[in-house]
This record gives sequence, C-alpha cells and structure tokens, in this order.
Amino acid sequence: MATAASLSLVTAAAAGKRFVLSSPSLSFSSYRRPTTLLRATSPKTWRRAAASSSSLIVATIAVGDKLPNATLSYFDPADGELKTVTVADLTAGKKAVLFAVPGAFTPTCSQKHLPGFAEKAGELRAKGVATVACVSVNDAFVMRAWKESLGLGDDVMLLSDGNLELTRAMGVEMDLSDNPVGLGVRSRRYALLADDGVVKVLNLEEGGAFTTSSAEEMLKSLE
Amino acid sequence: MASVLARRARGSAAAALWGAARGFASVGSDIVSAAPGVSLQKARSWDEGVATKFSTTPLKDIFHGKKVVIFGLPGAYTGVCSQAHVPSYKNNIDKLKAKGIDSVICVAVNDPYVLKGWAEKLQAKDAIEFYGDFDGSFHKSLDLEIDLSAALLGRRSHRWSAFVDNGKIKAFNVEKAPSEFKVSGAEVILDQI
Repeated sequence: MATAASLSLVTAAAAGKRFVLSSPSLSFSSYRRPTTLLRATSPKTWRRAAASSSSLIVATIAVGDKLPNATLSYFDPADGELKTVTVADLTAGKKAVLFAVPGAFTPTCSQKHLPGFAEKAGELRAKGVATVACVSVNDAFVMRAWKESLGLGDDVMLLSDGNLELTRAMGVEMDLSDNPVGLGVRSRRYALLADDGVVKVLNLEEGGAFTTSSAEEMLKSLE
Repeated sequence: MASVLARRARGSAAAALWGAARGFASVGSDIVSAAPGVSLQKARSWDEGVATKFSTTPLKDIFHGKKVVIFGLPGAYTGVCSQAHVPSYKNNIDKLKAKGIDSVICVAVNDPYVLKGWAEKLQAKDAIEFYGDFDGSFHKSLDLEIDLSAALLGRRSHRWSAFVDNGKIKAFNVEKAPSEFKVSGAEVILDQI
C-alpha cells in the first residue's frame, strides 16, 4: 500500500514526494517508475522489440525511435464493430499524432486533454496529420462510452491499450497499484508526432500532469 | 457485444472453471473471510475521491449485519451487463427491498470512475451501489476471475450473483459463460432469499 507519507498532503511535501491531490490534475510524482537501466540517449541502441515478458527492461521512448508495434482495440464508428489495429497500420507512410491519458472518466483527461485534441483535430489535419488518436489503458467499451459521454465526434480515434502492450513497449507505464486511487497500471500522459512510425516530437509528462502534452503545443511543434 | 463475448469465450476457460470445484466461495462460507484484506472502491468521481482521500471500503463494512444481494459482471459498458444484468436489478429493487434486503451491490473489475460514469448512464445509482474491484483481488479471492483477453477485456470476473446475510453466503449463482444471463438475474435470486 502507498506509504502514509505519499498520502498525506502535508508531510508529502516535506518528504520530497509530491502527491498533489488539491489541484484537479493527476500529478502522480510518487508513482513507481518502470525499471529502466538506460535512458535512451542513443536511440538506436538498447531498444528491444516489444515482448510480453515482465522482466524486460525497456528504455522510455524518445525522439528518433521507431514506435514499437502493438495491437490496440477500438469500436469502429462506421459499423459499431469491435476491431483491432496495429501501430504500424496507423503510422506507416504517414504523419500520426498519438496522445495518451491515464484514464477515461478521470478529471484532466476528460476536461482538457481529449476535448482539446478533438477541437484541434481539423487544424492538425490541415498540417498534414493523417491520424489523430487517443490511447488509454482502458477497454474499448469504456473508451467508446467515454467519447459518447463527452459528446465527441469521430475526429479523434479512441484506442484501447487494455493489456498495456503499447504502453509497456514504449516504457511509459506508471504503476499506481499501491495507490488507493484505484487505477492500477496506466499510461503516463503524452502527445507525440510520428512520421512513418518514427517519433519526431515527444511531449511526455511526469505521471498525469498536463503541461506540454496539449493539442496547442502539438500544433506549435508542427509549425 | 454479447455476440463478441460469446464467440470468443465459448468453450474456453469458462467451461473449465465451471467444472472445477469452486473452493473459496460457496453457499455457507463467509464472504468476508474468503477475501481477507480486500477492500472495494465505491464508484465515485475524481473530486469525490480527493475529498475522501480515495478511501476504500473494507468488505466487512459492506456485509456485516446486513442482508446484501451482490452481483458481479465482466465489465461496465459491455453488452449483457448494460442491457440486461443491471436493469434486472434496477427494475426489481422494490421487490428486493420488500424481502428485507438492505443493499444491492454491483461489482466489476473496473476503476471506480468508470463505474460512476456507467451507473449514471444507466440511471441506476439510486437503486444500486456500484463498487470497483479495480485490481481483481476481490474476485480472485472468491475464485471468480476469468481471463477474457480473447474478448479484448483482459482479466475480469464471471457473471454471478449472491445473497449474503451478515457475511454468510446463502445463495450463489455463477453463469457458465460470462455472455450468458440465466442464473444471475434478480428474478432468480428473489426466489432464493
């Protein structure tokens, strides 16, 4: 279970671990980082292909890396069917913007991040982005329901990384299992631009904070 | 969506599990001691979570000294769960209360925020209390977890229902496959109370 220090707002600051609950954002600075031996300073080395072994050490994704291939699921708005799609399908030969939220139906995600991208999707497309997709460690049913609850159209694809395949392969998972918020292992918040599957722009947040991963920031990077 | 689940889960782990003796939870056993140290998360919004410091609810608070009808299902927002299972209890709530039931609880392996959204969508929040077993530990302790990765859901729970009186399981119904809805509805348990 989370230590008392990380739960108490007062002593948390003193202990040097911020567990900011007072703001509406999800700032999980006290989450357990995935075990990374090396930060990917030289992106070409140290990137193993995605595998399901939990003992695999994966360096966090960085600019210049090829996105790992993984299978995500979603409900196709065209026919309402549950389908799967691979990262390769989404990104090969085109520009794609992928952004991730820690969880559907949680505050910053619902109120700012996803709607922000839905609003700016048109402008992103005008700048040559073929696919704008939101990834979360939730199942596809929940993703669809979340999209409907926000009244959003089909400009942003909502993709389920329910078994953490993509999130773990990118090294961006955050383990909140000890945390009583009830989220388990989720994805850090990020927004990235991939061109033919290679990461060109990466705005990766600490935990669930919402600073550089917005649609506005992504648009600026495309200028 | 029930068809998706049926297609993929048919004849797989569900059937095998059904055949095996369910050791941890059965009629006569105590639900709280079957799952020691387990607590559930009441469905809530993030702000409510902050206000309550994300408190969890230990099982004894839910079950001790009360007559409870509890039902579990594979996942919020999925087909049978939304269209049949929850409505079955919502529509029979008066009959259940008339038989002396203190609370009707729905539990699923989802986080509490998703459950709150779903409960509101189904307009069932007043009749039924929704709890999240976000890491599956409650269902695992009761030997009710099932791997629904084939249906792209991951580790979830069976579809089941139980009548628990002061912590003792008096009736316990588990569907043979999560896509089925034969024994875990409100009508069946009303007869068992």
